[in-house]
Amino acid sequence: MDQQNLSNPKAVAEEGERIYREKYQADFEQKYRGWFVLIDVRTEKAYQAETAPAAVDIARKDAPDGVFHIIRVGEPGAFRVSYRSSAEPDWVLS
Amino acid sequence: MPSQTGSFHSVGSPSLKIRISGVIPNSEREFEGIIDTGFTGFISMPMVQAFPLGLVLAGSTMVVLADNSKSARLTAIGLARLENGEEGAGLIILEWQQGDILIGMEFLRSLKKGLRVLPLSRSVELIDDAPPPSPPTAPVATPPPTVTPEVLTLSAPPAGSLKPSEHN
Repeated sequence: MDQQNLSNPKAVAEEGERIYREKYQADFEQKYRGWFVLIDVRTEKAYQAETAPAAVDIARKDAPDGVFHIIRVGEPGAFRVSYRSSAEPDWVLS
Repeated sequence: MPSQTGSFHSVGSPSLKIRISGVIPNSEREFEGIIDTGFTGFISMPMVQAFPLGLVLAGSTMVVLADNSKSARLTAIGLARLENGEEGAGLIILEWQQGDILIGMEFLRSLKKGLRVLPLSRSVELIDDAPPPSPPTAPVATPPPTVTPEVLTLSAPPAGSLKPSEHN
């Protein structure tokens, strides 16, 4: 992933989702359903824990300069919100 | 006795005063957040209010909106504290637009709190919550003693021990 895209949340998110789908999803959905996974989009490494702060801790210790995308195993998004955001169209994926 | 009593926001949603802080010393500030039980996360807040706190950026994530569309957001790690001093760390979703601060279900879970909403008296109460006691473990059934069936061996009598029946 090029440096320019690392500051674009949508690009980081798309890259993180791609890496997860291709390298980890099948295995993690068997072993870590409901856990949080951080994908470092620079190294393609995954860091997983039962809670989001714990996963961030593990990831930051191993890769202090990592650029992470956060996923909840088995869910379409890490979080659900009850409102319909008037999101900037560029950041809305579907 | 409730841990903290909140009120109703001007729009009629239950709200609570919490203090949020990051890594910058003395950066803690009090905010009024709307308690949103339809939000599964910890806290959601506008970026412009989060930056002065020195929250540590955690990365991007996808949130699922009410119409099932997905949208990318930045997240940061922050600490939230109640008026009684109880506190918990969690992942804060950063909104790029101005808006309300939302307090979600993960906030209640991490601080082990339940919510009592009293719309007529226009107040909300945070109460202590705990996981239900685990059901008593069933006694381990001891297997019945093993009964070795007796093996009855029918052996042929020694030759000549049996006399043929005499039938007269």
